Amino acid sequence: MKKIGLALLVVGLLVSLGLVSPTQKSFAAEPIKIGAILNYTGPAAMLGPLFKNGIVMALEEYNSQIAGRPLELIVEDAAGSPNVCLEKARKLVERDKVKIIIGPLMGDAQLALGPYLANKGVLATGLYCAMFELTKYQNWLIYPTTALGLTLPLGWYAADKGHKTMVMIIADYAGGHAFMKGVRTGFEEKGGKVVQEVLVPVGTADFGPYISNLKNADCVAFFVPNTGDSSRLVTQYKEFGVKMPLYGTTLAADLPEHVMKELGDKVVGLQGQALYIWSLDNPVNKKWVKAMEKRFGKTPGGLANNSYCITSSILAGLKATGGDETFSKLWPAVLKVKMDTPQGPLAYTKEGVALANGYIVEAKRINGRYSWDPIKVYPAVRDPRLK
Amino acid sequence: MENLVINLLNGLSYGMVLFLIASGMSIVMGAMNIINLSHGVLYMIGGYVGWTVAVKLGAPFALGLLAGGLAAGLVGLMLERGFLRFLYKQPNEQVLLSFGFVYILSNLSLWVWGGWPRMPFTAKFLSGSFEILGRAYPKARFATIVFGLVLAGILWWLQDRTRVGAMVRAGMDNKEITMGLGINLERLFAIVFFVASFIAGLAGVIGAQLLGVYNALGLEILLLALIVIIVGGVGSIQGALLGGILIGLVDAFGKALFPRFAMFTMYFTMIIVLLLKPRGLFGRKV
Repeated sequence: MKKIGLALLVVGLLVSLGLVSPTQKSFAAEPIKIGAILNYTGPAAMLGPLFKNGIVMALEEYNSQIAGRPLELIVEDAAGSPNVCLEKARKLVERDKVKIIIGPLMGDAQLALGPYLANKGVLATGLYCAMFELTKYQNWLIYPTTALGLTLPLGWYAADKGHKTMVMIIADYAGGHAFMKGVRTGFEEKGGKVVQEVLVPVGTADFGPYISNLKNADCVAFFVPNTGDSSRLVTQYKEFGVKMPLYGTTLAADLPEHVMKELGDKVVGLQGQALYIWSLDNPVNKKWVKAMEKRFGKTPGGLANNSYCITSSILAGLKATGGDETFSKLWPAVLKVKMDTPQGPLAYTKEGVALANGYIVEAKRINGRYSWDPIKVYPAVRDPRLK
Repeated sequence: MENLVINLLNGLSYGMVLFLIASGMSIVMGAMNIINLSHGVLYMIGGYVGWTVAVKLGAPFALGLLAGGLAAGLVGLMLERGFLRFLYKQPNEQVLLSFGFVYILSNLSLWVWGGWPRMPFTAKFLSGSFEILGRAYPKARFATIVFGLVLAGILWWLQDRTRVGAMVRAGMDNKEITMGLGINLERLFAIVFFVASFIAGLAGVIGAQLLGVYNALGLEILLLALIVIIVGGVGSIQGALLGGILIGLVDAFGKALFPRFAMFTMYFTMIIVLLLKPRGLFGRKV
């Protein structure tokens, strides 16, 4: 009895001296949970694994821990549906208690999540731009810029090439309209005129009827989402022998090299806007491409770059807060991040929108290998609506 | 004028693909009273196998067609022998089971072929385009129309002019008496199911000339096939052909003339046909 009393006394003393602190110890070991809503089924099913590779690489560069707290990634399937995304976000926030969610990809899903995530104080991100409307919530990281900012350089470029009129083929959903607004804004800024807007549903199988009915203009610019739609449009445009030059958006992501190889010479000469190409000539990129090839066995593309850059900037922010993921601390820390990424220099505006390079690329076939070649760079592109 | 012709050709080529998908499903529905919702997935499997043979292995396109048809036919036969034959006259169970197979087979093909969509492909001599009224038109689309019409002819001949066709039609009208006449209906139905699935696979490869192949195709195509069957009427080749062409044309002209409403034109047509002829344009009285 005496011994037990003594033992209790010793424990009490130790605890009061702070030598043994059960609560503090478990807090230190408590993981920082990061949620990700990626596409594993539905029309963009092939994109989920690519985004995940970028996230995993960024986490592993930190040995999956910051300030002694392990980093835990929880991945959910977006299933290509705003409803599903909202459910998954609720699950991540309420059951898993995450304070950071990477994704979803599609603009309509982001708009569906906007009010909820703002209300819960979760740091949210797009994966490939994001809807401009989200900037009002002040909790969304938008990389590499807004949808409008992303395609702005293509409008400038088309006008610089001397085109005066343009037909636009637009995938008829929130993201599609936002992307093509960028092309229009850039083109009109430099005196160009859009003479026709052709709205096509997402997942259009047969573009033939649309292509057959394009008005005459100096050029045609398009945005349709994902590889399937883009490759069908490019193939069918070529088949119908339309003579107007065709400019694409988000090219390197939608038509990666193995798809170009299958499209063959149909794709050669196609120009347009791209976010990232593995062949960018900067030391950070060269090192990163090597590391990605070693880790995942294939050359990374724009999607892996996006999720990598987004995750890296969040982790840099977490490092600055000493591993505190509370929104009020993490958000300002992330906005202060300035880093050299594989894509080029990266900084954020106070709205959470990234300032990064905009690239114009051309499809080339060199020594039998098809690839996108950067032909023009527009540095630190900024959406004109931002202060 | 040239716009009209081009739109007409667009509608016909798409319509032929729709006809090919719907014909098999419609015959199975009419002849065997089986609602096979996995028909669209059989189409997709045909497309993928055709791609593997014709593009990946570099074999001739015709071999791709045959392989796509056979693969879908065998999977279909497996479904019928292994599952659906136990569910005759149980439409609810058929719907649930075959819809389950939509997911199972879609996921299996996701394992095998991955999530990347396959580009449209065709035979060497069909790639490129030819000139029509001063406008370029893809050869592959024209070939699709010809192929669809030829196959429609063969199927119609099989259905209306052969002994096997007569047996199937007899089975459609009165199963008991047909069996009483000594016809082995079970074997006949297995053959019909195989042929229907074979055509779905064939359609997958033919359709891939226009649309490529991708994982969500199984469900998308199913919806289109159902619309064509509803418009054309269950159980007849003529109905599927007319329904396919009508929906194809409505889609093409809808996209050209009212692009903003292009998503609804097909459904709108379906509603009108249902109001005027609830059994569809060529529906059989069963």
